[in-house]
Amino acid sequence: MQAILKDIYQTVIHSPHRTALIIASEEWSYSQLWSYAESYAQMLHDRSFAPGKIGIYTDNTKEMYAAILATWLAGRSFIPLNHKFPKERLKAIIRDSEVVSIFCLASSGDSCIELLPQEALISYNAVSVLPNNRLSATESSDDLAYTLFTSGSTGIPKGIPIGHHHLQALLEDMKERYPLGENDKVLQAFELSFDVSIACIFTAWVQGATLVVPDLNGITAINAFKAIYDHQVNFVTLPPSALFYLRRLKMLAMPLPWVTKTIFTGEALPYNVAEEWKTCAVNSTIDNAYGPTEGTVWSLIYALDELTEQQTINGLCPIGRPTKYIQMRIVNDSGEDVSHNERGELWIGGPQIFHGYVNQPEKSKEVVFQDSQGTYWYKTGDIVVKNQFDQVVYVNRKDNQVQINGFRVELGEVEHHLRGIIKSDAAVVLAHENKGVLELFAFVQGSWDEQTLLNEMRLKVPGYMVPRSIFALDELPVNTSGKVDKTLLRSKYLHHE
Amino acid sequence: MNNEQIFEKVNGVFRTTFKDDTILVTRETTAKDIAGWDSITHLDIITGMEEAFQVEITGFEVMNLNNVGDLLDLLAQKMSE
Repeated sequence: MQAILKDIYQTVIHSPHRTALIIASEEWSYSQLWSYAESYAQMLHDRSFAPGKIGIYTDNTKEMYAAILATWLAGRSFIPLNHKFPKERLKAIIRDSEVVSIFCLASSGDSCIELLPQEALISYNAVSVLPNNRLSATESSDDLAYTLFTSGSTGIPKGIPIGHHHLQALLEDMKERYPLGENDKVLQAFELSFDVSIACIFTAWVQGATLVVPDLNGITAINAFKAIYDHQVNFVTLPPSALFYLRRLKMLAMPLPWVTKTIFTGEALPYNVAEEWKTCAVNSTIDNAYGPTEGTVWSLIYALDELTEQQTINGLCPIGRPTKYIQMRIVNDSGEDVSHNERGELWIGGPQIFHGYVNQPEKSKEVVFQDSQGTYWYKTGDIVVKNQFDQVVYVNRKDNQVQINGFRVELGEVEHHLRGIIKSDAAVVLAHENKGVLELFAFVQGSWDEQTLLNEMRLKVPGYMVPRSIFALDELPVNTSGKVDKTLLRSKYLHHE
Repeated sequence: MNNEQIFEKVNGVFRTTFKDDTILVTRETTAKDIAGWDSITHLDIITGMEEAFQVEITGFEVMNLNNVGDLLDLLAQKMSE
């Protein structure tokens, strides 16, 4: 049995009635969670699927969480299939990654049958759950734990395979940094397709804490706040943009004195956001956690303190120092280490670093390499600087990647799909801050109907990648270099948004 | 304003938010039923309702909205106050 499962199993054996999971008003004990996981794993054995990965349709139910463990108990790995993603994107993910079966609710079966044949679907409702099944977990021949797909600039999502040893390295840091136990309640307010969810789930479960999951439809930030409030959650992880919604709906006046730890992640953390949260979560310490999915959720973490304000750059908090197993370099364009206070690209190395994208060897070669010691390194594309306090501060991106509501988006991928729809290269996408939230705006040349283009885009990309507005112009303006004049587009069309 | 008028106005807010004139919500409609209904559009819907009906909706009221029916009931209650 993998080490992560062994850790969880300790609680199953020694404290079987302890609450493992709260979703809405329903609870599961560790014993129940394990029984369901074992039964689903047994079903995977019985169905004798061909070698391959197991898709988990993100119903966001208790059963979905048990299915995660089931795939590992059966010696398989999982791929989250986000039900909010367009079918075409899910089909591309399945094709690219050899998914042989999908766990789903019976009510999601109609959606999943478009992805794989009926015989490849496992409906939770069809599994007989036996208590104390005590299945002997299958030793997996490979180390793979899960594969997540992220935006790719060429229009093809990039699959990032993460092994158990990668996740184990992260969790060893988590256990030391955030010791948790029976009385701790951990918020999990992220889609399973976003890797912060993995950190939340297993930081809680390997330590016998309770995972609290809000409804992920509607305004997630509001639902998360309700879960924190209703269940007195003390360990909270949120994207900074969540505070935009909480502020707008006048919720930050509600005190949350039981919150003792808050991790902001997924986006750069403005110092004023952290300060505002402190007015509500008055007893909470705050960490800013940074990391690309390629480095297994989090690679650098910064604990805010009384010196934070003087360490900000552009109002943003530092991202801190590497976690336990992460090595770090800050390099110039030639790959040489820069001196202190000089900006450069952040490279991260060590046992948390993935080994390459699924079926994209060329792209992998661009960003991943092994050094002479055999250590894997990932070139993050993030420009950072180390300050006088020896803390790393994020400055900007090297390329056209942005974070929309915590999700990584390559502007090139959005443009790729838009150009495919209009069958022309005359399309450009800009990220622009609107009312405190970063959003996408697109410009196309020609007499296109915005509603038609938006509808077409919704069929191709997840909601967070669909532009807020698409402006159809007679002609895209160009600057003296002959390139689309983005500055002009911003000032003319986005200024008043 | 009768229920039919409220319903028509609510549909109007949805159509404006999603830039889709074909949207027709029912009392049972939830975020799962409309592509692109995420945190940002949800906030636009709430703000749109506040402007269209000249009411103020609090965060706690938003937390208890499970479908369009709940929203209609909330709007009707607020307008009768």
